[in-house]
Amino acid sequence: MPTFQERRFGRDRFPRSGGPRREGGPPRRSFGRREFPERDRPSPRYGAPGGQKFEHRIEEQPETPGPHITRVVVPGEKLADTPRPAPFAFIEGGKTYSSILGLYDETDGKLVPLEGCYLPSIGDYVVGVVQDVKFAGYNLDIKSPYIGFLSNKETREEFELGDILIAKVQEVDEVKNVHLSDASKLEGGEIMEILSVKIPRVIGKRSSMINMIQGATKSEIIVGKNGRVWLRGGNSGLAVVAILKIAKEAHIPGLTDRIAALLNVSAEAQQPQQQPQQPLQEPQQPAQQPEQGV
Amino acid sequence: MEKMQLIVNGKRMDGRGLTDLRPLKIKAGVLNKADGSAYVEWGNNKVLAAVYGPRECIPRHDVNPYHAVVRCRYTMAPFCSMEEHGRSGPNRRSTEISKVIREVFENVVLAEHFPKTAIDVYMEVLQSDGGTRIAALTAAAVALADAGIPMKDIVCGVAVGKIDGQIAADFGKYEDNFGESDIPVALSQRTGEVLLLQMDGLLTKDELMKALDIAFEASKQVSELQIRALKERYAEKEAKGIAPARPAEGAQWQQ
Repeated sequence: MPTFQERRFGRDRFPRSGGPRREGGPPRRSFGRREFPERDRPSPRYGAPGGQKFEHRIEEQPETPGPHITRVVVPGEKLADTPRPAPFAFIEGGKTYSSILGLYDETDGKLVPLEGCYLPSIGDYVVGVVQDVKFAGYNLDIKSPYIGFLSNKETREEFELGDILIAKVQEVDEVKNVHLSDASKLEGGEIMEILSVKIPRVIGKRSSMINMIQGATKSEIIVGKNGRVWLRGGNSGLAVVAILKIAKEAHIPGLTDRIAALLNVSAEAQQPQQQPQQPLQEPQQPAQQPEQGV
Repeated sequence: MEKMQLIVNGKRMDGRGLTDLRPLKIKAGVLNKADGSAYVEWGNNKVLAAVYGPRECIPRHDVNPYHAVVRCRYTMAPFCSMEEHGRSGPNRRSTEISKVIREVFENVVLAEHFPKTAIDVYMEVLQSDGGTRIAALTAAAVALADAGIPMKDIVCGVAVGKIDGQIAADFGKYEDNFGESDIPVALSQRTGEVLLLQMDGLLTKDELMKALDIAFEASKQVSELQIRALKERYAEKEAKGIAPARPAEGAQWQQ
């Protein structure tokens, strides 16, 4: 029988049990125990002095040159007579079928969904709302079937119910427990929601679309991959109209031209009202190069 | 009471041939708040279907960590038919229909992509005239695709059966009530799998096999209209927008 001193209380004295492997994350034993790499870094808080400015990033995928032939496909529609693996496609009997309502690019075999909910994946930046404050951290509504969890170990700030945060998806379990990190609070401003599948078009290639909207409306805009967009200052009403238009017409070619037309025309209409307050207004940013294909 | 004559000179009561369908209209994306929705008018049937999800599964004890839970609710409005239905809400008949429709969709929805969630399908029969479960299923299949839920196929269906000793398709109320047999069939056109098969009345084996062949042929038209409704949703936005008009995918189907 061990003595009281020999008995060890508390789970932290023991090595953690293995448990299921987490996709892409650190091994469980080291999770939550490592040094704070962000401790020496300036605070990621948005707009804080010396803080990092948020940058929209989107994975650049290799483009096939030339004209792209796209078509709307429905679940069960045959995409190809050969196996061509793609997200949201399935292969049966050596043939490829679509499983969703989407836009299929026959040139490079990409299948892009037209509808659907947001499924968190590692590295995404999401705009969340604090929906619960727990002892160990915060539960965030990330406009997804799954709740995001921001551990106290990942942040030194304190948040309240209803705070709007931008956070990075650090880890997603096989049972879809979503762990967030790099959270910073978004002060003021307004929030809008669109379908998450339209977000790549809102950001555009190398952030071209969002830069154009920011340049024309002078608003601060942060786009979460989960379909929430946060806007503050400037002509945010025009930015909302532009983003809603992108969400509605994302599948139609020539989107950049139409958004440029919308922003320029509407921006000119706004100028007479703004001129007395801001006589030294910067010239409007010229329209971006039109995109190739969809 | 004298027996009603359902087939006269090879024509049915409303002038249709034996395997003709009633006029069918499908429209996708009719509700703003639902993730996916569809409205079907099939003869005198009017059905509205809405899909929510995948979303958080409440109550939590229904959660399955391996796949999404598919939940279906078929109800008839109190004003939907000639006989007053009284209170709306689930009853013995609609509970059964909800269950068989749920089993159809459990077979085609790729639910393992969304563990711990629920996909809710609501079907409301606003006006009924025979064959409402198939009309509801047709609407729900379109609504599921419209919600962006991955599926192996869009399920289509048709009711077949026997009236006045002959095998025919798509029965209205009187053919259903005074016919000899009624078989709602739901199937996947891509694979030819039968996903729902219920039968009232009696048929020989040969008659049943013939009825299934008719169901497979007749439901091809239903499937085409379902696909067209989904594609029209995206063609329609294009026509209304500033974009130059482009021939819509599937424009060869003329109603």
